[in-house]
Amino acid sequence: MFYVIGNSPKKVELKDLNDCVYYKQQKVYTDSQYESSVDLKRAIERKILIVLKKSEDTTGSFDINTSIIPSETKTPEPGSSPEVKVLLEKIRDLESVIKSQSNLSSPSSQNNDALAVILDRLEKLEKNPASIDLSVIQEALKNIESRMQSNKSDGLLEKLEGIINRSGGKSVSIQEDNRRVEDVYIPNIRVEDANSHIKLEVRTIDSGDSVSDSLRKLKELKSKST
Amino acid sequence: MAVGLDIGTCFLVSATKDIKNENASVEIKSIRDAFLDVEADQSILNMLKMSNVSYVQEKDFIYIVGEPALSIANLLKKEARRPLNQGVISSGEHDAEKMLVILLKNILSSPKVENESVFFSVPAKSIDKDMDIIYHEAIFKKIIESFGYKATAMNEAAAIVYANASSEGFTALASSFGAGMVNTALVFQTMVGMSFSVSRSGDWVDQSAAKAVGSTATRLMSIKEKGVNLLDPNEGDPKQLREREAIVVYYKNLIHYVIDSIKREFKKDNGKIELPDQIPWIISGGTAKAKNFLEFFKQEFEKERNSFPINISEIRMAADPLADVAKGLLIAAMND
Repeated sequence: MFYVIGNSPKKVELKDLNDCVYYKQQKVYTDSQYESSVDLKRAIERKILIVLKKSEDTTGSFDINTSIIPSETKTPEPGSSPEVKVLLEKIRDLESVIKSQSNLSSPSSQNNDALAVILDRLEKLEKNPASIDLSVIQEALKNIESRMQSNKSDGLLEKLEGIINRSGGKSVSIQEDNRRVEDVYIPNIRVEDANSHIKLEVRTIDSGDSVSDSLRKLKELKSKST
Repeated sequence: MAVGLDIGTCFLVSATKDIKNENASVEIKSIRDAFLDVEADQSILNMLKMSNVSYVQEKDFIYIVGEPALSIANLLKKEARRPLNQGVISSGEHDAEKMLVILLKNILSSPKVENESVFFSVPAKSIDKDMDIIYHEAIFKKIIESFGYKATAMNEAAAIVYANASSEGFTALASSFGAGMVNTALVFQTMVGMSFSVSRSGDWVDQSAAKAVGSTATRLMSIKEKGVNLLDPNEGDPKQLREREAIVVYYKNLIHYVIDSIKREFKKDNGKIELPDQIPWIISGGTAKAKNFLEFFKQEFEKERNSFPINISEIRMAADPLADVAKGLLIAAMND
């Protein structure tokens, strides 16, 4: 068993395990998962995941220890939490993105209002970090989002949405779909279109066109391969 | 007869040919995949009849369909409705299903003989959005087969390779920039080695640019389709400069998003795909019809060429970006 903890402000993706580890999140992987996962080994090597504890694999069920495990990572500062740190980090990222965009002659350069809001919020955070809770930061991000609605660009809204989602522990995952077309129920569709008038664009392509040529070459290719 | 049917977010396009007559011409039929519902009123009905606009009347509603749905929506400052959203139909969209049945019935007509072959396009699995591709494929199979055809699904981007890469032995990278999504496939001698779709494309450009300038996506689409020179947004009506600039910014963003996605997906399949030294990259789809899209694309690709995992011999536009998916499907249907 490998007990690991996230040691990067960005989430660590373990694609070959179809999993990810957020900053300070603790997870347990079996020896076989460790052996089979290149991503996990690489993340540990790069120290973006820290192994807190290694133990022998056990069969059957096991409990994941959810209490704080002493780790090589720094102890959180009083009044702050890993989530707050992640959000702060993201706000700073956004600030730098907006600053860089303000130099461009594109519609996305008009984000001064949003920048002012971010800076104001940062100042407050720096003065009194212990007083901040996550909902305040999320509220701030929503405000920024609404201010940007009219003139933002370059994916900033998506980034904000991502931050808010992540802070709540939600993530978008693409599910593997193993159904067959034959297994899907499709209701009958009844249409009453007695009074319809549809005009289509119609054109024709001569017989000596690329379709005939491609078909001939496709048949040649198929006959070679069989 | 054999039919290739491209089911796109923006257009439904069919390509039909008589398989028994080699010299027969190919017939291309298309209609804008959009509709607008208005309350049934005799005066509106008369107006539509006089102006020869496509419509369907059902109970208390008139559905204006095709291209006029967009222009009338624009006039009424409304958004036209699309049967497909980001390349797929969702379950429970009853109006959309009905509209598709009507449009497909018109575009396919009736088969001349029983079980005529129709190859229809389906998107590849999305890598950035949870989409029910299986439902999408199943519902179209059922609709098409209800008309008396034998329906077979085929990857949209692979169809582009069938129509455009015969001289390369049907080996190419192809990307179809549709309205709802970009479909990409790496095809080696007709076999699909890697395929995926991303949920950003023309609609995303319209919506993002509309948000940026405080307008509607339909209006931005109209400006885009009137012609935006991607290499020089100053070209055109000075009153719409901001809109054109916004469109260019999001086109650029879209191109890099596709290039980055290919890099990531190819890395996942690395080692499994054997390719010749160099292969062409064929670009297609309505979103790629913007002025200077190809030059703009090449310009952006050159910035990424060194880190791009596939050796690209040339980037070229499909011969007929709006109809080549249907033509590729037709070729596959004729070879069936």
